[in-house]
Amino acid sequence: MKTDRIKSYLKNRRNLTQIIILAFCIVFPFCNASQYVYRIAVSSVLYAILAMSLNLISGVCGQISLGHIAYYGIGAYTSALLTVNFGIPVWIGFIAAFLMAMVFGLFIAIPTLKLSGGYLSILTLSFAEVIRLILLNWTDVTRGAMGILNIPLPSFFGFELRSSNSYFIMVALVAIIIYIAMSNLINSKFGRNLKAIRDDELSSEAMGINIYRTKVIAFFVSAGIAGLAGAFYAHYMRFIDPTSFISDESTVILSMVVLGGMGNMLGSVLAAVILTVLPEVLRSFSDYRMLVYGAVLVVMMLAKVTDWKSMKRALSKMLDFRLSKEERA
Amino acid sequence: MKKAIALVLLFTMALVSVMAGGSNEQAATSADDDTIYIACGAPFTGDDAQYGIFFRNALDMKAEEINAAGGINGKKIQIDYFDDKGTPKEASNIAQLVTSDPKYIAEIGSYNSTCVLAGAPIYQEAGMVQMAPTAGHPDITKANTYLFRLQNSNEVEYTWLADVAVNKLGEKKIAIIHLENDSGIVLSQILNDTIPQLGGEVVMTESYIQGQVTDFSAILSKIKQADPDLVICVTSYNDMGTMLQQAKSYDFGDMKWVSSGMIYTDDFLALAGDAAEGVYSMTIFFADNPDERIQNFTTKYREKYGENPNYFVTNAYESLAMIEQALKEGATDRESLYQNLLKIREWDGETGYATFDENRMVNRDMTVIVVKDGKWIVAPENNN
Repeated sequence: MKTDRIKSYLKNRRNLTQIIILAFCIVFPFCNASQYVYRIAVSSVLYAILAMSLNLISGVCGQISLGHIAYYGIGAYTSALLTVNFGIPVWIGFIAAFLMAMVFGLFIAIPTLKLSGGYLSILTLSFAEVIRLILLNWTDVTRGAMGILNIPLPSFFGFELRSSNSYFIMVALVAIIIYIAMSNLINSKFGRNLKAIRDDELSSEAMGINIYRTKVIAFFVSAGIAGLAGAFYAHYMRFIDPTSFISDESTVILSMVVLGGMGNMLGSVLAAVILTVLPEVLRSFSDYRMLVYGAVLVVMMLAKVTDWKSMKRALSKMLDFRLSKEERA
Repeated sequence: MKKAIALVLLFTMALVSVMAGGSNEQAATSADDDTIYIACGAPFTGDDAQYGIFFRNALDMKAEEINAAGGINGKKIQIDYFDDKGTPKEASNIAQLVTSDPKYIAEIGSYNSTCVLAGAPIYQEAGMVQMAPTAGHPDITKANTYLFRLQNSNEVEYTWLADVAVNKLGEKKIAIIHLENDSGIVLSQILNDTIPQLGGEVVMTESYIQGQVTDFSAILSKIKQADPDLVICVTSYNDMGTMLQQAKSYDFGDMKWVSSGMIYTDDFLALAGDAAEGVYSMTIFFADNPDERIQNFTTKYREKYGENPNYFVTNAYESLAMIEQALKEGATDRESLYQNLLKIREWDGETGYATFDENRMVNRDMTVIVVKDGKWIVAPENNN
């Protein structure tokens, strides 16, 4: 009876993938791979967190944001400045980054959410630019282009997270918690409201959904999580300056969400990993690396690699097409 | 379902084989004892790719020379290049990649301060020498005690500027014009401190806000009143050009204009036109310097790549030359290489003379240049 239930649970492809990822996260830190591999893994997890947070507003709720990197930057700077200038423990810095990014999320959401579609996208894009320029020019506080040096490493119970595998354990743990919380959120009434708004704003309002409130909460949560990822980044890199938070990065995160299939959180996570690992794997192409990366990205977008069902459809269509051609011949 | 599992397995296998392939290669090469591996992380794609290519040209040239001369103690040099796109994220990945691989003895790069600083904690942790050929950030050597900088700091460069004005050009009454921003204030402070020490006198210090002033007549009138023998400008080349154009309508006699290296561009010459005549500037490396040593280097580089070398080339070249020296003196691993490099306090390279202080910061000789007949030439006062 029980095994039947497990079997049926595993029959679901999504569940199976989740279990594989979870198992990987548990086993991987103890695999004794090189620090370089762990470094890419940490990067992938940070982007996965970012992609999950953007997926909430852009994927589930359909509000395309082109400025998500701003919250990441705010989180990174908040935590870095607090720990470097005031010597507060790093974990408080993480919480502060989370809260600060949330405040900014609210700050940008309240006046702008009456806008939609292209207008909102352009506005978020300019917001990210404004944040970057503030980071660059408010030299008294942010040290401008000089950046912040010697950001402390996080330590828990006297154990400093010096190696990349120990850092991986921390970020992977947080990412898993965020994943579970987000999937519950998306499957709750609130999540269904978000999907309704994405599909048709007018009719969902007619159905009694408070559109404004729902959107604001989504922005609030999403920004906070991005801020937390930013804080992880700052304490991992141990040096930040405004060039890490340019708008190109927002595009990268958005392409992860798009490649993962808008609103598909597991897809976003997979896409984040693929898009972070790929440029490193392609190093053997030396100068043509980014060219190949672009080509692979186009192919992956067309084939929708993170969505097995649609890939299967595309493949069978291709096969059908070839078969029918042969038949005709 | 089965297909999905098959796909996942296939992907994993591909990934594993890629990783395993990489590590096999490493094992094979580290067994090979006749080669010394040095990594170079620099942008080879993206907006800053040209700077990475300057690095590569210079390092390829130097490595070929070393190998043609029989290598170092019988070992060949091999430079491996890694693209960091000029972004801190990729620079830190490269730092980790390079330090995890025991075959690399040192790293040269990256081109900008952001990338150097992103890699610095990792090189520090690994105890691996990081040569920073062109990074200008004041604190880079504080971020990593294994880091050597080959670019003059502002402190060094502006002390030079004061020295040029007072000693080489021999003028005592000096006026300073600078931009009203952080770096402008700091730089004019350095000049204000140094000039009196050298025996000069600052008769006027004036600042303006960049982008808000296009009419410099107020500043020029004040200069006229203060009547200095020499004006030092810490401005961008386009402001300098505009200012010089406007200065033509004032009779400044034989007052001299000196500027930092910022105006050493062809754009400045085009902008200022005949008003640029007789303006002094300075640079770390001047390709058309008639000095024999510099000419040899310029010819050598031009023959190989068909263009003039610049300071990106020379600094990368000298980085490798210094490593070569340290290796010749018996360095065999990362730590002994570091110790030998620390011993180099004076460096008489193919592209100029330099000294290093206890913080591994360079003080490189600069060349005084002047505009003559619409072209930059080495100033006659350079050898004073």
